[in-house]
Amino acid sequence: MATTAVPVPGVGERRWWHTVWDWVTTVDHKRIGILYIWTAIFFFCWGGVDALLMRIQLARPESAFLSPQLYNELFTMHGTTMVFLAVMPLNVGLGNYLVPLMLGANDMAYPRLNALSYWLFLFGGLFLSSSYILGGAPDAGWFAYAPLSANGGVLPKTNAMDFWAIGLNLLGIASILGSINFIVTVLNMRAPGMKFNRMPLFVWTQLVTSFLVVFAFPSVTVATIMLFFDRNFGTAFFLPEKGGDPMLWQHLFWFFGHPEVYIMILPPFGIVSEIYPVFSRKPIFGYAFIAYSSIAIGFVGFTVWSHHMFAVGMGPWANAAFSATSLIIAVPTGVKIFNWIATLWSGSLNFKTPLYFAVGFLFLFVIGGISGVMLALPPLDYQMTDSYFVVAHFHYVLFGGAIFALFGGFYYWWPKMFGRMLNERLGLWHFWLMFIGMNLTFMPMHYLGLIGMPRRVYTYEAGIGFDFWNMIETIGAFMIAVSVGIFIWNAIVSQRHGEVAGDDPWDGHTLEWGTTSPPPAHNFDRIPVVRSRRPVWDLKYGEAQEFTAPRDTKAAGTTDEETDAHHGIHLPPPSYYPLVLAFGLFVAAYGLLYIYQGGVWGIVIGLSIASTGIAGIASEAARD
Amino acid sequence: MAQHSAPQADLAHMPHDHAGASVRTYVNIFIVLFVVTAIEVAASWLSDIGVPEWGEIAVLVLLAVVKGILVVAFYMHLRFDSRWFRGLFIAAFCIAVFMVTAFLLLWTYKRTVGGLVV
Amino acid sequence: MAQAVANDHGEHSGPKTHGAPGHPPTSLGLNNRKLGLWTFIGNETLFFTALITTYLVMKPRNIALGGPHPQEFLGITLTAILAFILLMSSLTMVLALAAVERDDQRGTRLWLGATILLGLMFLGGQAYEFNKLWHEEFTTLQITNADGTTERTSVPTHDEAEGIAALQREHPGAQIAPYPNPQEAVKPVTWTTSLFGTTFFTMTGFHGTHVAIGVVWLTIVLIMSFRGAISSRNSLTVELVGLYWHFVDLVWVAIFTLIYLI
Repeated sequence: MATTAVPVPGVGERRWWHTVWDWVTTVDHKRIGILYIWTAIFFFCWGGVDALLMRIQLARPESAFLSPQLYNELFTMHGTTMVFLAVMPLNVGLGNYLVPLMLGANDMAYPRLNALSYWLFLFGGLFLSSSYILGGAPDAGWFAYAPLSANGGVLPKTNAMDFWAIGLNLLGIASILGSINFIVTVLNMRAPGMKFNRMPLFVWTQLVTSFLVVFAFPSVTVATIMLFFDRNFGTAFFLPEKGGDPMLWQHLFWFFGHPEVYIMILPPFGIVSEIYPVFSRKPIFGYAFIAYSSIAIGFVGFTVWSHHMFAVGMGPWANAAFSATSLIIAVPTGVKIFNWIATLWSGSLNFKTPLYFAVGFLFLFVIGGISGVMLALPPLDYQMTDSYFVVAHFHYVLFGGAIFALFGGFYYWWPKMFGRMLNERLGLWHFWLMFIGMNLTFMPMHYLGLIGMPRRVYTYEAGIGFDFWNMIETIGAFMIAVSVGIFIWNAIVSQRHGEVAGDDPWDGHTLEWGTTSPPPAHNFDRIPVVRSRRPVWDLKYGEAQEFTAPRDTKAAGTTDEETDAHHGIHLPPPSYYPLVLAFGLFVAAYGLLYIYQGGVWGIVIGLSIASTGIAGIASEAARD
Repeated sequence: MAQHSAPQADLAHMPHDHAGASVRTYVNIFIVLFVVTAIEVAASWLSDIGVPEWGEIAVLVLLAVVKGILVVAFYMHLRFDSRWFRGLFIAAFCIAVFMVTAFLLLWTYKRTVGGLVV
Repeated sequence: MAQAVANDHGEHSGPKTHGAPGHPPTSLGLNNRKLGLWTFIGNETLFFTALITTYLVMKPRNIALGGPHPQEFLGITLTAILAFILLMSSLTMVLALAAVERDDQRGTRLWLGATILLGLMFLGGQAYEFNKLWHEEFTTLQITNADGTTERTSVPTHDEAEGIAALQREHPGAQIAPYPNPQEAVKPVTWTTSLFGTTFFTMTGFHGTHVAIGVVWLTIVLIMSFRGAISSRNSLTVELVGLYWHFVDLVWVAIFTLIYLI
């Protein structure tokens, strides 16, 4: 079967399309992880450009740089892109690359499903973004509040929010399948001795995040399907003039939306939990608390969603209850902060770029957390909701928190992924520019929000106290843009000129540092045997002499022909069927969008292509 | 994980762990399910003979839970299968129950739409 | 000690064959595909929960706005038969699994075929029910009480006069009239004419779609069985479709009670 998928360059000549084909048909978790990361960085930059355009518009009062409509589209797409196409896939990308390595596995549990998740993510992103050239981008906010998003007969019908509703479902399928894959991998693919309480904390947070995706996404799936029905088929779930209830949209959306916040922030928690101990040359303080409190956060995360809706009129009892749960969930998060500080405390700190970002994360995330606790109080929230204070809050959490941790993770693991170090000097420029730019951009938003600047409005009057700080914010935003540019330059240049990393440049202690940089396709030549939470540390400094056990080909139950030169490891052959299946759904999505313009044929064709993909994957899995 | 003490066990045969779930058990469970369904239909008239509405709802929900447990425990083998599957399903079920309850409670707060209290 | 730990987890040797007969031992000793399917069932549980929740929170609103009363249109007889059919299909499904586990090829095919047939019968019954509802009508009424307060309700159009008379007895002195006017007050029970229709058809429609997908999956397994590709060695193939099928049945247990009986 391998022969159908890989055009082996017979005469030894490798053309560029061979490389492309290798990547398109790959089912290797490391390559898929890199695809995820680069695609997500691309969308991160795109969402960043959206933000810069908005900042140019807001730099001066009564500016006419953007039309109100375009501004609406930009803030909607900025939010949607950053949540679904940047932060989530960056987390998934790092997880994809690292979780099997950290567990001592050769790949994810379902390599082809893994590829399918990536292609669905890519096509979902392209589908959403294609709205810009197909009649206008979604324009009702990333939360798509009904009845505005359901087109309550006020505005002429465009396809904009249909792009959003369908696109989110493509991305949702990708996330759900990816999460099932993570769950099975973590539960089932651990190396001998890798008990749950020895798993790296990054793996823990990926596991909890995956459960959150599996249990929270259905709510938004149902909500977006209903939204699509309302917009196209004449139902009235959310349209009050026809009897529907817009509150239902908000509840269904935030029942997903708040766990989504933890879906975005838990893996970054895991990243910094890996960085602190390595760079302070100490074990993590309170491993068990960090691991198990993630589970607690996961569960409690389902009970706080209505704190996004204090001002809509749920009544005092509901507001009080959701305020209480929101304050409770701050406790395990707060204790984690102390865990991290205690890890750094009196450690022998190795101040390299990853640690700069991780400490920056700590600093900024605490600010975001505290403003979050303020917003959890309904009387305060009444004053601050829908103002720039809220914008400041969640950017401190998601930019100062998630993005800083993710960049820290990139500096930390880039040498493992590409075999070369990222430049330290450029890294520090990146960090300081981003750190200062971030605070210039978002710190004044607290103040602007408190003095009454509303969010999601395309301009403001001159002379009411907004002018100066808005200009400062725009300058800060451009500093962030420059810093991201430095990172990308750093990443590209280091590919060729970076210092060769070696297997273990940071004196790490988790299993990924126990293989080569970059790791071979099969990850480990010998099976790691885990005896503690720091298996590679044991190998380097401990008493453990036998780090690995030899592989037993017989135990694998593979036949000789499946067993290649890689020490008896059978890896699934490359496959293009995941791409075919994802492409089929992509076509069907356009069919659904143009359902009244003959789109039924698009659906039929798309689903036929998808069925071919399913059949192909099933037959490959059966032969595997 | 006592049942998996043999590391080389062929996993395709794991379903055999549910010893006791014989054809006879399956048929017996079906008979119980059938009877409970009949009782459910009968119970749906409880409010017509003067039982308060909440009483009828309680009885019907209880009977549905009994049916659900039987299907999950015997037909889906959760009674005999790994505690991981049980835990997964129970976690999902708890969040589901929480969602329904919380939403119903939230919707007891009366609001006015177009002059009508709904 | 370390040796014991290693043994705890078996000779986890990495190569993955994904549930094929040579599936290597896994950390939990569970099959990857089965674990994945259970996770997926957890996901689907919340999917149907969101749909059912939507129906339940919309139900009082539907009635307050003069939508059709569910119990006047949903026949318990038909739905009890449907519930019976699905329960029956769950039985045939486990019998198919029991048959394949003792390598009884004839039994496997017989019971798989029976399950498919029952699934199709369920879908037929649902189509009949949808069609029947689509052709029935309800009349929205506004009751203006003696104290000037108004409320809305509805009666089935085919016995409108009788219904109004009954309402009149319940609300002495009230004025009862079609809302908003006699022409627009009468509507068929479809997907778009009331919140009941909207939520009911969406929810049961998605359930029906799941049944249809189950029928397709079962048919594929049946074809595999006729090709001799199913035996006790890979009974998991039957077990997995069975888990999905029972889950769909389970959803109907909930819908049957929460929507039809209450």
